[in-house]
Amino acid sequence: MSVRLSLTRRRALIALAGIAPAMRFLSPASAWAAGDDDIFLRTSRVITGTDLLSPAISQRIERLLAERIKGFSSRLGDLAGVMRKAGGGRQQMIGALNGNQVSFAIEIAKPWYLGYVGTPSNFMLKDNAAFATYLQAQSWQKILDQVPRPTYPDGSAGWWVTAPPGIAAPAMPGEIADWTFHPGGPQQILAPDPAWKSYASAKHQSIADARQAKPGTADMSESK
Amino acid sequence: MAEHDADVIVVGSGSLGSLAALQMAKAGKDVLILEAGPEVPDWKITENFRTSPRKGNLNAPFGDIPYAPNSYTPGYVDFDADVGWLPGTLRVAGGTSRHWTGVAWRLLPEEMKMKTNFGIGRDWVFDYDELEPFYTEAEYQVGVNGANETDYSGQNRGHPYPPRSKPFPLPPEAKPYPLQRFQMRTAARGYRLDHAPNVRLSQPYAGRPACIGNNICNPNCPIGAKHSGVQDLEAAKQAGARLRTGAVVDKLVVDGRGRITALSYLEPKGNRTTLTAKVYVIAAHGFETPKLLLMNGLANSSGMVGRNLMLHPTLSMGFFADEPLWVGRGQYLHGANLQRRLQNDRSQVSGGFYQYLNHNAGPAMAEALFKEGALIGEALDEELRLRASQYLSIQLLLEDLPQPDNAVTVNPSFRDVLGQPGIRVHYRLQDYAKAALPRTLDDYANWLQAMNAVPQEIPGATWYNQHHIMGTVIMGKDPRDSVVDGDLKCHDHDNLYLVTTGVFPSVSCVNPTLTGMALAMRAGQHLAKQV
Repeated sequence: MSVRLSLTRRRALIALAGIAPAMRFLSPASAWAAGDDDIFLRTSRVITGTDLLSPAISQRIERLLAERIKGFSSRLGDLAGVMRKAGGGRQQMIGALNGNQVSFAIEIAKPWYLGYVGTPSNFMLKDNAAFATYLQAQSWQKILDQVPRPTYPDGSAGWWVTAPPGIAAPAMPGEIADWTFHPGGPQQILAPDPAWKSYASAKHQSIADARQAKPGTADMSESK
Repeated sequence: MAEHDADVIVVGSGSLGSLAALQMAKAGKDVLILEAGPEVPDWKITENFRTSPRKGNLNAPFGDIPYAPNSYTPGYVDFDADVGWLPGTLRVAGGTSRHWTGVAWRLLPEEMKMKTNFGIGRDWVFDYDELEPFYTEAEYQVGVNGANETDYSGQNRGHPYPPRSKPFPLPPEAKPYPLQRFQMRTAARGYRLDHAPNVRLSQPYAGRPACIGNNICNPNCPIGAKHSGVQDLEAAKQAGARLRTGAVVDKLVVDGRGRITALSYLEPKGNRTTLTAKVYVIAAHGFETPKLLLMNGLANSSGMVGRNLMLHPTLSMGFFADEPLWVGRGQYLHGANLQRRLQNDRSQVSGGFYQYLNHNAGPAMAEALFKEGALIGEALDEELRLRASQYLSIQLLLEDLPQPDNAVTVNPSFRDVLGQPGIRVHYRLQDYAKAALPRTLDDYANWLQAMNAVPQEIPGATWYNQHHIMGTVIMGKDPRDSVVDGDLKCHDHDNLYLVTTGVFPSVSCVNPTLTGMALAMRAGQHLAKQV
């Protein structure tokens, strides 16, 4: 479900207040440091929300993006200028961006989060994708407190049986970890509730819309 | 001077070819295994995965080998299909099971007699009891975790099924937290969760370590906890089988009586070598085996070579639960729901089973958010974490029936550096599988309700398939409509055997590799007595 929200809605989403408690483990994005000439690295820090970005990987990503985005250097300078002028923390700097600048910031975010540029193919050994980073890919990094990055995790066999750290697991019978345990319930599969059947088949325009339409959810008009 | 270059030549060093070779080598036969591609160590595959931009591409870490193109080499396979996924096959030492997920199911006795029991499809030439000892041997050879008490038909009859002569060699792996929560909540709608037998070791076994949740089962296990054909090949070599890599077999010579008298292969630089053996085994998986036969006009008096392609149609679905689950902790797959496998309407509606994916959800959620293009900064990070925490993805694998028009043929429009042609695949989804969609939607609705969840992917918008290739050199009693007999010997050639999942006359809905392994061990032991 892809969605292009209005500029107003986008700015509202960007400007969410506060940092969620689960995010406290991240290194806070530092304010625009004086005397630091690597503007791509500085803007990347703001966009990703971490100071712990490798300069070498930053140079690699900058080169990859410059090869692929027309007017990259001037757009980068424009973006950095808005951020520097806005000052303050990450939220304030990103909140100062206009629509085009947000779109460009997203193009910078993609390789930092996904670890590649371009569009990789799952079924062909030829595409326009290029490797950016593995160890600094933020899509793994942002959830590292709960789920290890693939390959070489900590822990011995079966560590995953326990609830993830920080999760207040609902009470379950002690036998729940046994594969032959069954909690009980109807002997046959029930027919689905009509409201949920309808909900399951509906073509929702976005995750947000689907959340609003869930059976039992009070109808909340989308604020403008 | 030896009469032949080997007692038996096995074309293909994958799991099945290597297991067959192992049986013969253990019996003292001189076995030569020919592999088109190179040897590539597991550590290199892991490193290639880590530095690849295309982490969802199973073949990518194994490279594109000019003299041994694989199914993802551009232009090699012309894929004309109404299902989404071109199966990823490899041509490297150890074969395609280098990147399998490691799910190790047995067929049910009923499923080996589809024509007799349900009036559709075809029967195997022999029944489950004949294959059972070889299933057990294969499970102990490769190390399979399983729950001995389970009725794997999904009918909950209160006793283990199918029948087993020995318990599983290993107990199940740990049940991950997301499935514990899913099980607790969906039981109220009548759903059961069962263990899915697999080869991702729950304990150290035969010199290999237990799984520690590297979570890259596809494309390979960095520590060898997941079985792959590399281990079967090593076992065959330890037993005395010889291996030649970079040996692209393209020609088989046949005499007037239909006996294969020689084969020849090309090396990467184009040098040709001709070899002779008493018996020839083609174990080149379900695409390359029929391709080689068609190129040489062999084994095809029935017209069935390449036909009856079966791929296990698949429906994919996902949702966001109302509580944190955090998939990605453990193996790529855990658990199954088998309640749709053997229902009363099996003659009209495909049997199916659900499997629960357990990939680290971070990248997929980030990709979706970037595609939506709305969020950046802290809002992006919060939504990424929220979705990754709540996400669960499920696949339904469905049964295929042998349909002659679903076929693999030679694609002369492609030529590799050795001048070898490519492959053409034609496949159309059958009504038998499509008939399963309505109750799949019912199950999906029930799960949304049980988990108070938000839909992420509704089943049925797109039909997919598995990386399973079956039926293309089909087994049967009648030479007029099958390629091999029950011993996997070609009807048309007394000394040519085909050891591949391509021989399956029926495929159930479950992953085929363990059945293929059992067939390979059975064929290898048969040949050991014949040669």
